[in-house]
Amino acid sequence: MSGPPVVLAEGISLQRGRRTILRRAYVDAVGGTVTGLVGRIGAGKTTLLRVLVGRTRANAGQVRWDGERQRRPRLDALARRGLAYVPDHPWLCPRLTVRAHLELAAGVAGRDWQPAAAGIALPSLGQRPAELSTGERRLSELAVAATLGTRALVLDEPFRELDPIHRERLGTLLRGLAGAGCAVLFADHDVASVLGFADRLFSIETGATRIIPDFRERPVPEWYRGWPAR
Amino acid sequence: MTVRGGHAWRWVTGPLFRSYLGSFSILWVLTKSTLAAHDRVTGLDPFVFQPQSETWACVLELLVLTHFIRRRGEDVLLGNLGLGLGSALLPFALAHAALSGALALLAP
Repeated sequence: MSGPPVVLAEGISLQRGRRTILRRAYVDAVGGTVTGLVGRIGAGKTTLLRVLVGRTRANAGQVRWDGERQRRPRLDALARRGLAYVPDHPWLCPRLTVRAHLELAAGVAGRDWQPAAAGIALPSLGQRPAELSTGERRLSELAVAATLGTRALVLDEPFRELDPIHRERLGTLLRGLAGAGCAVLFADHDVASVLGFADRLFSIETGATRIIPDFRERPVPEWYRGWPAR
Repeated sequence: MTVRGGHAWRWVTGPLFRSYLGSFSILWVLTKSTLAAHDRVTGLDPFVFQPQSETWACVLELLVLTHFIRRRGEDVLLGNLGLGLGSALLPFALAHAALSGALALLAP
């Protein structure tokens, strides 16, 4: 289940004005596993993922892909090596149907889009993202990313706005992708999602990360809600 | 042949590029009309290809297109498809030059 990380960010520090967002943070994604990054709102989860996928520049630290340091990591360069990123905001083209997005993704990744769409019972393939409900749009984004992410899939709050049935389906899809060798990393503030679907866990608080090796054995307040403010 | 593999052909023949091309065409008509109106006022031939003016117009069009792509989060979509904004927008600069050049040739 474990191996060398496909992608990792280490020693990441980021300061915005007088506020420190990240403090020598570390996170990685290992092939064949689902890794959770859990933290409260404002803890730095989104920023750390953005640094990892090259959407935000850090003041210090580095991103590595297959152990190779990325001097100026960029999403498009990482995507060409098999990474897909799902941000916490809409990102599909409003003028294309969901099916057109999936076909585009399948053409790029060289794989079939039907398994991802079927895995989460994607509705409304013929509609455009703007015509979908928030949850349906979210599912569509996830199916497109799942089609694109052949080696690594990085998701920011993927379970947000999903009903329990679709949460379960998405979790099963992520586990299936990991089972096929993909490195899945998702950030969430919802402990239930982490406990339900993650094999490995990082926690983040005020920009500092730590790995929680035995998170299933320990009571949740020990590694999440019970943290004292620093 | 894949975009991820760096092949530009799939990008310029794909539906996403076509959807941007529609918006870009509108932008080109707007900037060209503005340039032509300005040239007419200043007594210049409004359809002549003037490299300096065309460059500025093209840069303006690309900036507006970039703004809309970023505002809608579609730069993430392009990134996920293996395309940086620069390489995704380069064909539009060529499209601008081709459209303006064709107009200069065909205009009376």
